[in-house]
Amino acid sequence: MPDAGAPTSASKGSNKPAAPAKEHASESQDAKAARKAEKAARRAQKVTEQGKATAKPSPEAIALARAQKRQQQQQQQQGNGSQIKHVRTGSSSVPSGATTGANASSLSDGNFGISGSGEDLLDKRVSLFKHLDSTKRSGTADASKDIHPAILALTLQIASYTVIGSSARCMATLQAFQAVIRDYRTPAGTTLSRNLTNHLSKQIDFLKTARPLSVTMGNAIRWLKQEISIVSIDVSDQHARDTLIEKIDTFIRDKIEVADRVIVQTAVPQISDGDVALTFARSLVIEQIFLEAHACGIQFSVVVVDSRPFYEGKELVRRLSNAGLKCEYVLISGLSYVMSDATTVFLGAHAVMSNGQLYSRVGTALVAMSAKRKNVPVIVCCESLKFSKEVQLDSVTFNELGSPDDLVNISSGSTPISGPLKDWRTLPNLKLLNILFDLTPPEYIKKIVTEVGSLPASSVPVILREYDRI
Amino acid sequence: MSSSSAHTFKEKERDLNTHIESFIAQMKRRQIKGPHDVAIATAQLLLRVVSAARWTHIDQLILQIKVVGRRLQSAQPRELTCGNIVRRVLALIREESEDTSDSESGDGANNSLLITSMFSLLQTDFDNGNSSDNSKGAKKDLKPYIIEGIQELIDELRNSSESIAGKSVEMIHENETILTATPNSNTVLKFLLRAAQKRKFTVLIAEVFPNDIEVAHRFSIKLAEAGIEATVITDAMVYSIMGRVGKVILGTCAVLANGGLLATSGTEMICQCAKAHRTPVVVCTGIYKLSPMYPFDTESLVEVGDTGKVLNFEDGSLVEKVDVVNPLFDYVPPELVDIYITNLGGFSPSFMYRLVLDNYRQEDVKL
Amino acid sequence: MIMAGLAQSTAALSADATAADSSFDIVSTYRQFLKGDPAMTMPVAAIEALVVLLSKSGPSTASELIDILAKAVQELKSGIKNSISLSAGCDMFQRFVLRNIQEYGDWEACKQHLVKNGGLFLQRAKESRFKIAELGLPFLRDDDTILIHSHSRAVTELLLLAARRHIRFSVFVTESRPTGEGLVTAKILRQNGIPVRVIADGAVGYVIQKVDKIFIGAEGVAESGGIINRIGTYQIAVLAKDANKPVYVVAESHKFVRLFPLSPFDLPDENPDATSFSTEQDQDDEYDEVLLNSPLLDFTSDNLITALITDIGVLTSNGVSEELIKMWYD
Repeated sequence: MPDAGAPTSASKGSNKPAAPAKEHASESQDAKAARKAEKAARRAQKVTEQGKATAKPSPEAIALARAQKRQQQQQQQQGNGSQIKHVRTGSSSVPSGATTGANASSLSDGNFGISGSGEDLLDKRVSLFKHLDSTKRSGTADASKDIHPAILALTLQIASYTVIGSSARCMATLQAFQAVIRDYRTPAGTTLSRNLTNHLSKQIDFLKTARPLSVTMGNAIRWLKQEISIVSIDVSDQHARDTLIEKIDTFIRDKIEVADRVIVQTAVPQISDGDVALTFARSLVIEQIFLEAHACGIQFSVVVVDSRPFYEGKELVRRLSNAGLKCEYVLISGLSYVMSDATTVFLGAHAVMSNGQLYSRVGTALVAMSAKRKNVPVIVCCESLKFSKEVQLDSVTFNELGSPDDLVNISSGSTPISGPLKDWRTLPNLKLLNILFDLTPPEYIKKIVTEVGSLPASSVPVILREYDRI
Repeated sequence: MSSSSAHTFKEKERDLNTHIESFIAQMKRRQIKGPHDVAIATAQLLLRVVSAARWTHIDQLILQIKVVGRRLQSAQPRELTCGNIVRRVLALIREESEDTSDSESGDGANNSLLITSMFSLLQTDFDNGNSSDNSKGAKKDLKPYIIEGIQELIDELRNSSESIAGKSVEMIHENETILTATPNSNTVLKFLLRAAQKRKFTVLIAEVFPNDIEVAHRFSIKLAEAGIEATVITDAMVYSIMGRVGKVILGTCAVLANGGLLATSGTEMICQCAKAHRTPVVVCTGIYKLSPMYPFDTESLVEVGDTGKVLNFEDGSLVEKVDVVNPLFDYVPPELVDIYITNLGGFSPSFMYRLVLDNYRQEDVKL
Repeated sequence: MIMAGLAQSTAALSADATAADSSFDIVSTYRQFLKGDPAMTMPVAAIEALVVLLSKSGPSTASELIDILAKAVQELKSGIKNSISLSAGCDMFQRFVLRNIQEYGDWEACKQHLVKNGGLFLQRAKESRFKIAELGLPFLRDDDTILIHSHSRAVTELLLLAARRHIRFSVFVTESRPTGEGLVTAKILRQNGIPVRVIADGAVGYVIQKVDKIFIGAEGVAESGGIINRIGTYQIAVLAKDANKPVYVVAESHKFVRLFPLSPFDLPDENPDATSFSTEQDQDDEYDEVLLNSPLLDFTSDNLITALITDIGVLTSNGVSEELIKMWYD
């Protein structure tokens, strides 16, 4: 046990600056973190190339990044992991020494409990959600040399929730694609418009090993592939690359940055003096709305409802209170207590399905439901990029699983404390479920504010059709 | 009576007073807490009070109990069971005294038919002849009967969760998925464990973070150890999973006269959620938790707890700037509850008023 | 003072009736009672009228007494247009007499008791409104905005008591077409220093978001716990449900009536004109008359009611049916 802990805590020290979740990849700190992650990814790749055969490089590398992010908490769980491993392999290797393929996979078991587990380990998957993790495993991607370092780095950041949030992930992905395109050279005997798409698909498959693609990423990728397919065979490689990179810049600006500004302008008048605006977890555009409304001199206060295990709202409340806004912070179990004071509920989105269902951080549906019951209007603010063509009816058929081990920590502070569940893996019948999203039915939503205007939830498909025509 | 007995009486009284004082102190320091423990402690204390008490007229005893009851209740006004037990004992005393006066006047015909309170408009001293006159309470020594009654009450308190558990098989079917969010309820634990002897089912446990998280985790371990498929979920996941839940089974701190209840924070949104999904909400509660209070002001019923549990002191700079709230309870209105399973059987929330009338006297509602 | 007045009027009535025993008219006696005291409700007036009848008639057997009563009740119910509330009083009186005869076999004593206490019932009825006000008082809080409909003595009593107890609140009162009784309420409340805003019946939806709770009276409380009340009550309750505002019914228990309507068309008073259509133009100057032809009562089902504040406690709908079952159960 102690030898399991030592290396992790060392890496924790060195990686501390990378720890806090960053949404904007603009600060130098982020760049540094990205570089570091890139390096780790390269190392992992090299390692697996040596270890060859059954090696599963991506989970291993992800595990490493997670280990860095989750610090001490992880320390304990890896302790567990190695304990279990004792049973299985009889070896006593430690995370940082994960140099062989066998070790890498067993470590990933420790971290990805929900995904593949060894035969003699207890099945810790929640039966209702067994269908969800299969996709993750299939991407065995032997991280061929084709995978661009920028993609490797991003994969790690996404897997460790360093890059979190649907818009942020989309932006970071597009920026990584710019790097991919910049370094891309069309092989002889083919054309860019045919081959680049292929090349990108490989990158995308690798990205998926971290987390499933967000709807924004999917939409952006679809658009990019379309753009690539229409590149004329007559233009030079160089020129085509430059055009694509520029187009990506425009896309980010129009679909996210400008869109956000328009949404903020539309939403701010929804707040008036004396209002109590309530929000859940953290959405970038909601944050901008509150800050802008405050800057306009509107006297209002904000209630931030937050939940385990991400505590995203903490960052929001920090930023808002630093700006001088009057804030109240409550965990979701206290929802009914604060809802009676609220005048408007503002929610962000991960995606909006074409049947008007809002797909967002798990807990959003509860907030919207409570608001509806108390007659508080619910306003969803999101870019139309988040509109999905898919329909969905419940939160079970499609969702994303987080690590169940995240629930073992019972502290609300930054120092994790392992509660009574620290040995949960050894106990048959006991399972932990950590899903990341839920689905809010349209009847709880008063309106959706997008850059193309305010609309009822039922009008999502109208906007989607308009898109297709353009 | 000799002077020595008067002496011992004084001593007894002093003795009693120390007991009361220590009970109040323990309540204030939260050494006695939780509806069940408070109920038993209160009943035991009242047993002492009654055994030590001397009275020439039953009203004196009632007054004495009321005075003590008021003191106990004000020690921790939110532990409603304390007041409930005081009222139960008062009702018991009144009943004993009326029983004896009835049997003395030898007219049992009075209770032969159901009498509606609506007749109060027309009824008067019409049947004055056989109503008890006040001196009768003194005629017979009621003490042993009252003490016996209180002991029966204590037995009821001790056995209540057992008899509730006895109904678990009627509530849970094979392969059902149950959701619970009140891990601090022993009643629910026993209920589920008992059902597990006959049924195989899955239980989802909402964590009730931050106040009950450790309890919740331990709760889930206990279930798993008993062979129940236990899955821990965060509070935020309740909505997403509710569509797959067969029943929501909850414990409670107090049930109010309108059929509403007070329980751990988070239960109200869970019940709302169940309502939205048409999932039945089953509340397991001993009758002793039923309070004759009507929730006029639900906000005042909700206690607020340690904010450090919500926002750690490590986030020091934040704590100073941000208003942190940690409510400990939720008030759940009656329309969100489908059924109460009590030691007396199952009742719908709209019927709880009747149990209030059965167990408490109107004149004791205000202690 | 009222008591004294009543005693006089009762005495006068009895004198009248004795003079012409054979021509005793229960309907006009009832009307006289109602006219004599504005605070008297229909069920109480009915009871008083029946008491007078008892004092006049000299039945020789228990069954004769019951027959006389039954006939008079039938006469009353058919003779008075709006008979729901009245029938609550008649039913209770009949059941009470029957019960006592069954139980004690001494119908003579029962009759004596009722006749002797004639005036008492009115007093009791009034007291029950005070009791309701006391029970309902905790429902009102400082800074509440309350919506009330039309005119209800029980609701008014409650609000006046709250004002006397220094609770500060404001009140929306509906105008309550076509009778305009809301204006009566507004006047009384304002005279007692309670701030009031009279709104048109159609404006309830406009203000409902600003309302904290709704108090309504009842003409009769049906077996289901639903209420029969001044027209417009149902729509207010539906709006309240939509806005999640509590609706409290304030009513005396002697208004519980053994009816189980499912819709307003099940009410005995159903106005046949209410659903008849016409292509003929109404004449402008008959505007008020046109309105007066519209129905005066509607039925609000129990699922729209949060609680009933009555003189026998704060009840759920179950409580009403329990009391009625107990009264009719043999």
